[in-house]
Amino acid sequence: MRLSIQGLSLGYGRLTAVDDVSFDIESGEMVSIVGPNGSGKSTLLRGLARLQRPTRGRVLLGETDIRSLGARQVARQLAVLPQSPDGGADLTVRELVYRGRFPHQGILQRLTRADVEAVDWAMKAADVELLAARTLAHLSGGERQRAWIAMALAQQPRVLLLDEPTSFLDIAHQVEVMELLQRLNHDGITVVAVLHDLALAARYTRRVIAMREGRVAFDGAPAEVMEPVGLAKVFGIAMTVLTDPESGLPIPIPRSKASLTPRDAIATDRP
Amino acid sequence: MISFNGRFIRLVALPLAALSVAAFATACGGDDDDGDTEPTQAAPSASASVSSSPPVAAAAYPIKVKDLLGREVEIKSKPVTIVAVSPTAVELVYAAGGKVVGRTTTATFPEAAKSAKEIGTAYQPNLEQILALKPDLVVADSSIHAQPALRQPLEQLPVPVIFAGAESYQQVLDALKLMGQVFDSKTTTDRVIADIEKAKDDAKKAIAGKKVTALVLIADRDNTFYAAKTTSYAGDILAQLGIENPAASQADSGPFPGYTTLSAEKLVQFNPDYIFAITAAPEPAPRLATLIPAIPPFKALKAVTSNHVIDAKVDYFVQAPGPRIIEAFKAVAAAVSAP
Amino acid sequence: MTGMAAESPKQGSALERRVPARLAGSTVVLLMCVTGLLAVSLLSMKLGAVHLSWNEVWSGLTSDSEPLARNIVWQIRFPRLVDAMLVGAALAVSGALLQGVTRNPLADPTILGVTAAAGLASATVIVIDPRVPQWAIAAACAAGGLIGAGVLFVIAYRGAVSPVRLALAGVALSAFFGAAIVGLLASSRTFLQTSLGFLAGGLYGSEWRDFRAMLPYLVPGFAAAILLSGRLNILALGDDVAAGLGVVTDRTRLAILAVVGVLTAMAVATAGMVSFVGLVCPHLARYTVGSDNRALIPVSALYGALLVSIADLIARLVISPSEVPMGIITAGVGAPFLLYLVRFRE
Repeated sequence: MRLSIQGLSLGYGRLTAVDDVSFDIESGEMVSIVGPNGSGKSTLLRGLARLQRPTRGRVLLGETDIRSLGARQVARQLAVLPQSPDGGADLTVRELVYRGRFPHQGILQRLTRADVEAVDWAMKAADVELLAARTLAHLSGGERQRAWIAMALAQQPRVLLLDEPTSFLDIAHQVEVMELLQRLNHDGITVVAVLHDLALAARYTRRVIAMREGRVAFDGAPAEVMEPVGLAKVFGIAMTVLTDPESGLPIPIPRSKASLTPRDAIATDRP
Repeated sequence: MISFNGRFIRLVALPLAALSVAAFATACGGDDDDGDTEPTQAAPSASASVSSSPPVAAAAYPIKVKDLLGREVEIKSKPVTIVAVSPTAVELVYAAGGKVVGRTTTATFPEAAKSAKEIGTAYQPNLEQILALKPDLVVADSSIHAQPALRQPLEQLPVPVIFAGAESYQQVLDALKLMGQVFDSKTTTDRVIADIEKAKDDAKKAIAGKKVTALVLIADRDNTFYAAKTTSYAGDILAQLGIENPAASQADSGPFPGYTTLSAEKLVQFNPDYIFAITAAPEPAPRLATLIPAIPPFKALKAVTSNHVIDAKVDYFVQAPGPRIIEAFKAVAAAVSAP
Repeated sequence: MTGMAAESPKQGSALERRVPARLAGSTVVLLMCVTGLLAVSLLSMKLGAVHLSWNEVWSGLTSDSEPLARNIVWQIRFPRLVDAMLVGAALAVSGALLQGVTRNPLADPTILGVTAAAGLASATVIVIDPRVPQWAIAAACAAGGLIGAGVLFVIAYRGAVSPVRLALAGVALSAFFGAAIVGLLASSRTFLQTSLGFLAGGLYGSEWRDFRAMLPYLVPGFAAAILLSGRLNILALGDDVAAGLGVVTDRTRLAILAVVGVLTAMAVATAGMVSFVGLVCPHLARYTVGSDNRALIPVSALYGALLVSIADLIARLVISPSEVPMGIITAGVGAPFLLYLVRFRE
C-alpha cells in the first residue's frame, strides 16, 4: 500500500510548518524522517497520520485521499504512535493492546475471535507477552514503548507511523525498539519514524528524509545522503561522517559549532 | 477487564434487561393522567359520623365547582371527613360549617381544630398522613400551593382536592362562596360574608373620611423592612378602607410576594400617619412596633411622635387570610379612629 | 487492587479466560450492591410517616383489597423509589462521563455547571407559568442541560477542546448559572419557601408523573452513554492516540457532553439540584470494577441508584412527618465516604 504525499502543506495559524512537500513511500519501506527542531518533521508525520488537516495538498493511501476516508477506515490500515503517550497509566498491557482493536470493532464492541488473535499476535510481535498483566505505570521506558507499539500493531496496520519512538530511552532500550521496528518491517509493515538520532536513522532505516524549515532537504539511502555538506546544510553544524566497519553504514559525528565553513565540514576519513 | 462476550450477555445483560422491562411494564400499569383529576369518591369509612344537621336534599349533589385556581372539581356528596392544608383552609372549612380531621401544624384556629391530627406543614404536607385519614375532601390553599412542586402532588392524591385561599378582600368572599357551594351551606357562608361586609363598612365609618396615609411593615431576620403594596393581602385591607398607601407605586422586591423592600430613607420620606407593624416571630421575640420608635432615624416620624405605631397581629394580616379579616378591619379602625 | 492471575497465552481456548482475582472480588461487591438495592426497596415500601405492616405492603403491591395501603404504596412510595433510583443512576452516569471526558476525577455535573443550567431552565419556566405540566418542565430542563453542555464545549473550544479548559469553563458556568437561579428564586412569588428543597435537592411529591416525564430522555440517554463508553476509553489514552485509533475526538466529546446534559437535566427536573452523587459514585465504581468505562458506567448507575434511594429513605424518616432535603443527606453520606476512600484506599 503506497503512501503518496502530494504538495502537502501544513501550518498553525499563519505559521507554515510544512511547505509543499511531495514524495512517495512504497509498500514495505523503512523510512526515517530527520531534521532539526522546528523543521516540521513531527507536523509532517501528523499530516500523514491524518491527525492534522493540511492547508494544501493531500496524502494518498493507495489511490485514495486519506481525508476522504473515515477516521476508523484509515485507522484500520495506518497506525500512529505519537510522541511520549501519557494516557492509560492504570491499564494493564493486555487492556492497552485491546484498545488497539477499536477501529475494527462494531458498535457494541463485542470481542471476536479475530480480535483475540490479533491481540495475541501483536503482543507476541512486540515481545510483551510476559508483561501482559503488568500495569503500564510499572514498566520501564522501553517496555512501555513496546506495549504502545503492540497496541498500534493490534490495529493490523499496513503502515506504522512513529513520532520519536526512541526519545527519553536509554541506549539499550533504543536498540530494543529499533530492532523491533526492523523485525516488523521485515514482516511486511511499512515503517515511517521521525527520529532525532542520526546514527539510529542511518543504522536501522533504509531511507532517510531530512527536513529543514518545512521542506525536504535530502531524501535517499543513508550511505548516499548522509554526507557532511548536506548534513551541515540541514542541521547548521559541521559534521564528520565515519563508516561503521561492520555494516558499511555511515555514522555522523558532530563537530564544534564554531567551524561552519563548507571547507571545514568536508573533513572526513572516508576512503 | 470485563470481556463483553456471550457469557457476559447471558449472565448480566439479559437479566438486567429483563428486570428493566418488567419494572417499566409494572410502572405503566398503575398511573393517573395529568390535569384535572376525576375525583374518586372513597366511601366515608365505617366510623359513620352522626350528622347533627338535618338530612340534605339529595338534589344538591353531585355538583361541579370551580376553585380559586380555576380548576373544575366534582363533589359527589357532602364532604364529611376533611383535611385542610393551611390555616386559611382550616378557617374556611369551619366558616362553612364543616370540621377537619387533619390540619397543618400552625393552623390552630378555631379552637375546635386543635384536636385534629397534624399532617405536616403547609409548605410540606405529608401526603401519606393525609391519605391515612381517608378524607373525602382535601382543601388546599390557592396562594400557598400554586407552585407545581406543591400543587402537583396534592392534585395527584386519589381524593378530591379543591384549592381555596385568599390574597385579597375579594378573594376571601370568593373563597367563602366556594365553600358554601361545596358544603351546601350557602346560608351559613352568606352570613359570614355579610358579617365581613358589615365589618368593612363599620370600619370605614369609624374612619369617617379622614384622609390618612399608612404603611404596613414587616421585617425579616436581617431587620430589612418590607412594606405591603395593595397587591398584598394586608395592603388590600388598607385599600378597602380608603387609606392611602405611599408604597403602592414601588416595584415588588424581596421574598414576600406583594411587598416591596423599604429602605430607611424611603420610610423617612414617606412619613406615614400610621404604621402597622407586623412581627412574624411569636412571643417572646420583640415586637416590631416597639422596635421602630427606638431606631434613631425614625424617632422624628409622625407615626412615632403621635404614638401611631400599631402592633398588627400576623395571623390577621398575613398568616391566615380568611374570615378573620373582620379582626383586621377592627384593628385598623380602632387605631385610625382613635384621637 | 489485587493483581490479575498470570496468564499464559497458549492456554486453552482464547475466548475463555480464567476469572482474575480482581474480577471475582468485584462480582461479590456488585452482588452486595444489588442485594442492598433490594433491601432499600423493601424498606422504602414499608417505612414512612404511616406505619404499614409487611402484609399491608404485600397487599398494597399486589391487590386493591386495602385502598389505603394500595394508595400509599403505589401512588406515593413505589413511584418515589423508582424516581430516586433513576435520578441517582442519571447523576452517577453523568459524573462518570464527565470524569472521563475531562480526565479530572473531581468533575461532576454540579461542579461543571450543567446542573445549574438545567435548574435555571426549570426555575424560569415555573416562574413564567406555574401551571406548567411536568413533561414541559422536563423538556425545559433538557434544553437547559443541553445549552449548558453546549456553552461548556464552546467556551473551552479553541481549535481543540482541552480537558483543562473544559474544567475551568465549567466552574465559571456553575457560578454564573447558580447566581442566576438564586436571583430568580429570591424575587419570585412562585417559589417562596420550597426553594430550599429545590436548591438542595429533594424528592418530596415525586411520583409516576415524574417517571413518565423523564423516561423519553433517560432511555436514549442511558443507551447513548453505554454506546459511547468504548470511545471514552479511547479518549482516555490521549487526543492523538485516540485520533489515530479512529475516534473523532471533538465530535465524541460533544456527544458525551450532550448525553450528560440530558441525563443531568432529568435528575434536576425530578429532584432539584442534588449534588455529590455524580462525584462519589464513579469513584466507588472505579474501586469495584476499574476504569474501563464499559463496566464503569453501568456500575456507576448502580451505585447512584443505591445512594439516592438510601438518602431519600433517610430524608423521609429522620424527622418524619417532615422531610430533610435529600441533597443534604447525599452530601452528608457522600463526603465522608469519599474522604475515607481517598485517605485509606490508594
